[in-house]
Parts: sequence; C-alpha cells; structure tokens
Amino acid sequence: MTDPALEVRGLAKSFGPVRAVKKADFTVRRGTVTAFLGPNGAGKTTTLRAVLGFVAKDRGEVEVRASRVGFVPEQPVFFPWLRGLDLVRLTARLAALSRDELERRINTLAPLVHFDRGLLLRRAAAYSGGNRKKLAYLLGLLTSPDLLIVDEPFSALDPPAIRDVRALFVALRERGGTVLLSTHLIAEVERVCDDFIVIREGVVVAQDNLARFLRASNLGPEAGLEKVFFLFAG
Amino acid sequence: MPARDWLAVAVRLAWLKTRAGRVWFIAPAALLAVVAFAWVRSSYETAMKFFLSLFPYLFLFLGADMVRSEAESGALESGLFLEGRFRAYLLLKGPFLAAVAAAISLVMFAGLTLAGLGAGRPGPPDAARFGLGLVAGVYYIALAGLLSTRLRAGSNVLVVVIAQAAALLLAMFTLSSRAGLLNAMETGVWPDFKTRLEFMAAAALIPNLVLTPPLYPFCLELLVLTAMAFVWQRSIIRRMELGKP
Repeated sequence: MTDPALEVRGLAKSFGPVRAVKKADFTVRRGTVTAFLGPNGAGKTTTLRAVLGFVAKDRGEVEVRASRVGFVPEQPVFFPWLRGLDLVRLTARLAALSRDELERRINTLAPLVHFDRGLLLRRAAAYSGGNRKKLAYLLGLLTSPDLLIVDEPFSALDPPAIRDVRALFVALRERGGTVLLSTHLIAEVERVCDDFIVIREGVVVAQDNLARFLRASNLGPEAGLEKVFFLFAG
Repeated sequence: MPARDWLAVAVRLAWLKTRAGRVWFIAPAALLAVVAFAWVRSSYETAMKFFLSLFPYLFLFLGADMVRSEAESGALESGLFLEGRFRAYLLLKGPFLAAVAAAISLVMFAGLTLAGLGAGRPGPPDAARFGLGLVAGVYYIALAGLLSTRLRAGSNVLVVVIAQAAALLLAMFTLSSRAGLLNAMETGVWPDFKTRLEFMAAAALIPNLVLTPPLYPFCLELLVLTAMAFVWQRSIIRRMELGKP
C-alpha cells in the first residue's frame, strides 16, 4: 500500500486496569472512505482519541501523513462562553484563512451540512444536539482537511442531513481527500465506504478493501458490510 | 500550522473566557470601591495602603477555574486542540491571566497615584511595594493554576480563601503564644529558625503578608514557590489526558 494518510502500528492504551486498546494495527489509504467498525466498548473511540492526541498512547506508533486533519466528535461539546462565530473565526485563524476566503467557505459548507448560518451569532453550547453536530462538521471542514476523522458521523443528524453528509464524504474522496468514519450504523456507511477496519476487544482483527474482500471471500459480492462486521466482530 | 497562529488563537480563547467570566471587571470594581471608601473615611495614605495590600487578590480571583473543568468538559476535544494543542492552551492560561491582572493593577495604581497628586498628596508612589505585590499576585496565579489541575470550577480559589480565613482565625486565638512571631514581623529580626519557618509557612498561604518593608526579603520565597508551582503544573498538564464528558 503506497502513501497512506494514516498509519497506526501496535497501538495500546489502558485506563487503570482496563485495557481499552490492546493492539491496533491499521492503515488508512489516501483518497478513500474507510469505515472503522466494532461493537460497543471495542476500543474505536479510544483508538481515535489516541490518534488525535487527546489521550496518550501507552505503546505503538501513530503516523499522520496528512497535512491538515479535521475532526468531528460523536457528541460535540462547546465552551458556554463561545458563539458559533467565535469558533469559526478561531478555526479560520488557525488555518490562516482570509476574511473573504472564510466567508466563501461558510457559504459553501453551511448548506452542505444543513447548518443555518444565522445560528453563528448564538452561543454554540445552547444549540440542539443536531445543530452542534452540524457546526462540528462546518468547523471540521473549514480548513479543507485532507484527512477527516469522524466519530459516529450520523448521530444526532436528521435524514436529509445524513443523506447530504454521505454525499459530502464521497465528494471529499473524489477530490483526493481521505475520510475515516467510526460508526455503529453499518447500513449508512456501507453506501460510501471503500475500505473497512474491524476492532474487537481492543484488537484490530480485520482490514481490507470491501469490494475486494467480498469477491475473495465465500460471502459473495452481494453480501454487505454487515455480514463482514458479524464475521469478524461476532 | 505556524506556532504564531496557534499562540494568537490560544490568547484569543483565553481572553474570550476571561471576558465572559466578568471577574476581570467585578474584582477591580470591588477593590476600587474599598479604596474609595478608605480615602473618603480616612485618608489617601490609608486608601493606598489598602490598595497595595489587596490588589494581589485580583490575580487570585482571575485564576479561578483554569484547568480541570475545561479538561473534563469535552470542549477541548475539537479540531482546534488536535495534536496535544490543548496542553499548550492550558499552560498558556497562567501567564496570560497574570498579564491581564498585572495590566489592570498597573492602571489602578497609576490612577490612584495621579489622583493623589491631583488632590495635593505628592507623596512618592510606593513603586517597590507595588512591584512586590505583583510578585505576590503571580504567586497566587501559580497556586490557583496548580490547585485547578485537581479542583473543579472556582473551588481552587475558594480553598485558598477558606484556608486563609482559617489561618487568620487560628492566629487570633493563639495570639498570646505568638508574640515572638508578631514582633519579628514588625522588626524583621528573627529570634530563631523556627519563627522564621513559621512565617514562611504563613507567607506561602497569605503572600500579602510580605508586603511590608521588614518582610520584603521573603518575596524571594514567593518567587521560588511560584517557579515550583509553575513547573509542577506544567508536568501535570504535559501528562494530562482529556476525560470524556
């Protein structure tokens, strides 16, 4: 595999006596949408948090080869003293965006994620769960990331927003971007993902290209991601 | 991303939080009211003494809720704080708040000095005492920052205030047995090491105590404790992980 956007080798993380991630080895190919799957408590979120630097890993290597990383958390939380506009401006400052460029990107991205830009003047912590998620998408995409990591991409979103966020992942891939989605909603992610990674009890037990795996396995090409999930995650 | 851009973002974030908290406005206003009251009821000199004794508390109150609540809130788990940038933000808050409190204190001190001159009280401004008050203030910030790695919200400040009140009560009830200490504090002559150690412990809890001329040398103790508190806080934050809300 050439030039991955993200490479994780031998990652392990414990919280006291609990071994949340025992051994995570996987690679996310550049220009793909990759589904990161696993049952509850398998270690998906901890793995992502270690990759993003929110928790320190006990062992292993994380190599992020993307120059700009975007992140959308499962349940975004915002400081109660910040308006949506403050967050947008701070993110733009971080990405060295000009005022005009910021305006242009907000005008482009807000409709794509169904975010009402009128909300920007209100405190972000007071938004509904769905609007907080949409703002998190807006912030995650504002810097034009070449690697977008999303934890539970469809949680709190309404069906039209889910449809358009799915289309957004496809659009990102088509312009060479990479998307890593950690999710339980296999049916939703199946329609857009190229590759899959399965983690079970803190160990990455499978990784492959979905179409190739289905062709090569005895599941048959018509079998879906759900069958793959049950095959590895039980 | 250039470090300069990140520093600007972190400073802006720290300022937005400080501004929203309103302590930056309420605490100086309360101090101003005390000073004005002292001037009206007593004299300019008394008012200045009040100001110089109390302004380090501006630093303490601004240091409320610096680390733990934010680390546990979930709000740092965003694209702004990837790659461990949340640690840099939390570490920056101490120096930033110290700079804000110092700026407010300086404006108030200059205003009070000018008001004194305007009222025909041309006594020399006590710049040395003001400077040492800044040392005590920065110590308060370092102490508040260290405590806030363990204590949530404003309880880091509350603990200091309660401990100070308890220490003052204890001192009041044991006044007769502390004549040697009180005398040494007045004269700056220390009869033995135990008395000196006793004062050092008191100064670590109430740094404002060192703001009288015979006790100025104890500011060195505050400087050492400030450095230790910042180093300790830094080591805690460098190992810190964000908790799930």
